[in-house]
Amino acid sequence: MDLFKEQVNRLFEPATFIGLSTVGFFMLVYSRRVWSTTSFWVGNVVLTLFFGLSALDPNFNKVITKPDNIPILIMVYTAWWTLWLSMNQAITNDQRMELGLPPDEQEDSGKKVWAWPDLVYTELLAMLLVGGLLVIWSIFLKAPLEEPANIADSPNPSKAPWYFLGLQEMLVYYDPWLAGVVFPGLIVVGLMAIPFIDFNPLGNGYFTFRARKFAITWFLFGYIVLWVVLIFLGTFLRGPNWNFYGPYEYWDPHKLEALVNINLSEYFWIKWFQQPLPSNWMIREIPGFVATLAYFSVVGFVLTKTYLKQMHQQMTTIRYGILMTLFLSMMALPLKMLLRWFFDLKYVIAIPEYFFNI
Amino acid sequence: MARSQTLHEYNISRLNIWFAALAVLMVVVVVGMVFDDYNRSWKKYQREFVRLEQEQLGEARLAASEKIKEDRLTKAEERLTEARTELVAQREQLSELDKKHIQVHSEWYRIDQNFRFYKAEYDVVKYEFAVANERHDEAKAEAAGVKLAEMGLELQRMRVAREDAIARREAIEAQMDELRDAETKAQARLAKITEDVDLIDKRLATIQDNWFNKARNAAMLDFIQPSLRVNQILPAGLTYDVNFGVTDRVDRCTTCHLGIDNPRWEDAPQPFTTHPDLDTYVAAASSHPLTDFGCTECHGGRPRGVEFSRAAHTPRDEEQRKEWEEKYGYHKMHHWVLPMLTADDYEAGCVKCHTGVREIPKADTYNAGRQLVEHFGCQGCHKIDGYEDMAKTGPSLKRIADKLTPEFAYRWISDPKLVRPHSVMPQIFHLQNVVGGKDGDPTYWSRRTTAEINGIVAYLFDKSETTDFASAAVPRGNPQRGQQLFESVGCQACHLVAEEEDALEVVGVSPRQFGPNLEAVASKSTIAWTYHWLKDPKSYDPTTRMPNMRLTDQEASDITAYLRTLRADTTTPYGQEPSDPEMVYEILMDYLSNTQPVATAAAQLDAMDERAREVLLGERVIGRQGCFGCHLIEGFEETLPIGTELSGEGSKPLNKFAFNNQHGVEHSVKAWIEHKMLEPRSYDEGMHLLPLEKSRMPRFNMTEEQAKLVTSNVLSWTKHTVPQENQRNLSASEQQAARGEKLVASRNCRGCHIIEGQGGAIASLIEDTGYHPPNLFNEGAKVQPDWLVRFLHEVSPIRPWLNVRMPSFEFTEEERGVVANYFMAVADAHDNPYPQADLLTYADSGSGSGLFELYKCQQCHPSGALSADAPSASELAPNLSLAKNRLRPDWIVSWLTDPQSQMPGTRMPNFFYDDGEYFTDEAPEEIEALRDYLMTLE
Repeated sequence: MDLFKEQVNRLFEPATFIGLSTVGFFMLVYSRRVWSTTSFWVGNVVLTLFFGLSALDPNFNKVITKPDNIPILIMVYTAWWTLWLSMNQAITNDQRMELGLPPDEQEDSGKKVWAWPDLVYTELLAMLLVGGLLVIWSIFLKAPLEEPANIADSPNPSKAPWYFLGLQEMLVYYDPWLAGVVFPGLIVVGLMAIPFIDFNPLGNGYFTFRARKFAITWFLFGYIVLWVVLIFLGTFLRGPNWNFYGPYEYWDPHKLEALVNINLSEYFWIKWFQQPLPSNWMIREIPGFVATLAYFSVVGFVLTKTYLKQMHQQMTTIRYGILMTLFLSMMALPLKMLLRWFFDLKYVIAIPEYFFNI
Repeated sequence: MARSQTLHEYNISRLNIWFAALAVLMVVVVVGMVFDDYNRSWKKYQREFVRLEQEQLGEARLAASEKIKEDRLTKAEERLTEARTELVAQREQLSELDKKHIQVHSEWYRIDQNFRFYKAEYDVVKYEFAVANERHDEAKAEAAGVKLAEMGLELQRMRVAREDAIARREAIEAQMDELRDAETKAQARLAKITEDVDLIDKRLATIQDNWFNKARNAAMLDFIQPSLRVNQILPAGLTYDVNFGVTDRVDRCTTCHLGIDNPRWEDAPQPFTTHPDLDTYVAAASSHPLTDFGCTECHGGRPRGVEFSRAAHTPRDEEQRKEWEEKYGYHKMHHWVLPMLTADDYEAGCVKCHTGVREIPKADTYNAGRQLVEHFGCQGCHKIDGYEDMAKTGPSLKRIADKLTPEFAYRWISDPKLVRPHSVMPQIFHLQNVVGGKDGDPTYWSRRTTAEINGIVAYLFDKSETTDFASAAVPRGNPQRGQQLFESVGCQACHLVAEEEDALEVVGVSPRQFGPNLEAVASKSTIAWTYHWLKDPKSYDPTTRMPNMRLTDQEASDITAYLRTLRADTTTPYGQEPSDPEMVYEILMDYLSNTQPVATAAAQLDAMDERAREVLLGERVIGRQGCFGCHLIEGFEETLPIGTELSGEGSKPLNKFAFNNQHGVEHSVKAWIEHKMLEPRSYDEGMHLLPLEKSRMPRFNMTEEQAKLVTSNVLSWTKHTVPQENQRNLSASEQQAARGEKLVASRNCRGCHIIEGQGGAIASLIEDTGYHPPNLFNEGAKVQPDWLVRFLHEVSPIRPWLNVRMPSFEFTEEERGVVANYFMAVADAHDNPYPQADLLTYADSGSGSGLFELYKCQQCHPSGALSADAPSASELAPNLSLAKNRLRPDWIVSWLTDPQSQMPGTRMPNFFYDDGEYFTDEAPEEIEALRDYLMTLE
């Protein structure tokens, strides 16, 4: 049993966990069969079995029963439910359209219902149900309030509110100005920009996957892998000192991990060219500048010739440029994760002289 | 309506069922919510308290009503009835008066109102007058002035009328009272008889289970004026530190501890039990009233908590914790840094306010703990607030070569307790984290330890100064005589010998443990050293606390001879072996490469010969182990102590204590410290530490009892502070007392003398009380300060017949002043012994001389050779010719009047006074005459 648990713990290490999540995510998105009603229930059973059986482990139990962590549990289920619902509908529509039928939603589109009682009454019922559940929740799980902040006894781990744990996880890989300011800003700006970038009229008013493969895949990647999975990771797998702990591992505050990372400039000058770092930071960071510029220009350009050839033809260059900036910024996170996991890369550009690190 | 069922998206009747079900759910949930909010655990205790109080009051009422004498009650009731009957007869007269009263009263009402209205108008004109003058509107001002004069007259008239109305009304009231007089008096008499019962009834009414009390405590209504409510105390000035600011301390403990200030609840179950010491705490008349001090400032815990666990109660032991878990669902408050102190450690809370004193009255545990901390010398290695400037615990090692052989020093350092089981010196080597092998070398630590100890010995002897002690001849002494002297001159006030120490029944430290236990002393030091040390300790070590006993050469050599008989088998497993030079080199590389490059370190070592390396190793090991914390060592005079500062240790959060692999130790600060005291190196177990990273805390062989007391003291060292004005601030004389107390403790005066009711340890060894060292009761009021200062400077025996000697302490001038001030401060005596000028004339010394002869004072107070009928030596008293310069004249008067009040247990008879009465009318004058005579006696 312990051996099994150890294996599971290893499976949940950030690299494997996020890696597997990504692979799993693409398998889910591109396999139509997953979105059947049966697999909805299979998904629920798998989740419930995982949490239920894991709750027998005292260490996992301690983490999962903390009043703060209950919403995350609920979130895991609701994320699955909403994802399944929309994808199920999209697949159904795609199948219908292959047969020449209109999408499911079209049948409803001519229909009218009464505001009262059909709309308002059901809203009232929903309100009552949710209200009642919230009160019951609040009675049985007290708000996890602690004593006034104490500099002599700061909580360890110090965690952000659950909905910010994705951001906090980002801080492992990027400096605060990026992970805490630029990226969150880009998320908001990017979400606002979607209607202006995405002019594909297909899918208006109905779910479809085939007609919006790029949009849905990469939006969901950002949402599921880079947000929900990171929150899950931050909640259940990050313990004292923001160290990684397997689900069945004891949260030992004294756990030590060797976190020795180096910069790209050090790779370049010292490891490859066997010479000291140039004293001038502009020269020193040339590889970093080149890499960053190349990432944003060359990748975007290559994509116009390959994966996004058709899309690029339909778009103006400015629109494509904005899309690429947002897309590549988003992908900068998993990319940096990979670089960190496999190459111990600390910064691509490191200019501590001006507190500017990427 | 054009709506038909089919047009609807949902089945409306089914929605109605949903609605009904959800409405029921909502109602149930809301009721549940209200109940959850209403049903607080403290209410259970308050209800139980009310029930118990009802019971208690019921019993008290019964007892009180039984006390009422039946006949007196009937008589009083009869008298009341009588008075009332009489009153009926005067009914008409009374009603007539009543009518008149109403009329006069209404008249007064009208006049009074008119007066007040007029007064208001008058004030307005006054204001107008002032404003007109300010604006220089003279016409207006003049008009207002005229009006004011008129109105003033009218106002005066109205006032007279009002007073007249009042007078008339009072006259009628007086008449009415007169008529009712008999009834009023009868009523008062009856009330007096039933007073106790009425009082109980009144209290009972407020806690009865009637509808009113039920309604005001009902859910949803209990926000108005409930009788069950959270009680809280806000002690003025006391604060609670919320880390980024302070808030008022709000103690809610009395919400459940309802009988805490009421002696009637002494035998009640918890949480209602009365505080066990109402004389000192909680009661309004005590020195720590509840309203000023609250609870948690002393006891710790979470002041605002009103639920068992959330008040941060601390269980006494594992057993109680389990009991609480079952009974109260107890869990630890993880976020509370200062949990409640347990009964063993309550006194740790005292020191926050009682600062600047060595001992806190009544705080026996704290005081014993503090004595132990000082005894073991914790402050030698750890900085602790309040333990500054203390003498080093161990002897100076600057001249060690005169005293010991290197062979002995080696054995001693290896494990002092093997040589002298009662030594205070702790064990430093051969402890659990520095034994056995390392990296596959099974003899590593034994070789390393040998090298380190050899190094220490080499360093100490290398730096040791030498005197001519060693070569000087020691006269031959007689051990029997030496033993007699040892047992009579007072050595035993500070020194014990071997197992004698086990027989001491003492909590904390006895004065007799002040100096080292002398077992095996002959095996330790040389003859020459012992002899010279006894003769003049300070010439060997100017910092020693050992006083000069003014021994003659013969006496010193006799005692030396006796001490040479205190020999013990000192063969321990640790005989001196030569160091392994490679090991010396390796250890030195450990040390040196810590602060410099390996190559530099190696070069430095290679340039040294083996002896030099050994000495250097000794210097490094002494520096690391902190030997200089207790001993004065050449080269380490200014080195800072090695231990962590412990000033805030008691309030350090639990998660800052590393329990490592000690899973058997309970997870609390207290248990951690206690375990550290008993097994100081155990927290290194199972850790991979380099030799220089290992714990250095030595092992004191404390008993569990001692470890508990020391731990309790450590818990008192908190960073939590109480505002200066809330602390126990010492008055000027209390400060002098506190300073003196430190000096008295540092010289162990209590080894011989009883001071402030404590001490006189040596007395238990002297059977005849006549040979006991003097009790210093009220000393400051007894002797002249100048004399005390002179006496301490140059001791001249007051009681030459005593075998015990007052040593020469060689106090500094300042210290002598501190002692004199100390005795005056604790005796509350004035520093001028002649408060009245006429005392200096001694007018009656002539008649005093006669009385002196009459009462045969000199029989017990000999001034020269003893008279024939002199009592045995133990009955003697000081020479009275010393009185003039030694005693305070007013003390002599009190002494002659009632010796027992000045010195309980004295043998001085009462000549003039006893049991509050003088024997003769002339006695007071005779006493003064004797005083005058004594003060002139040469």
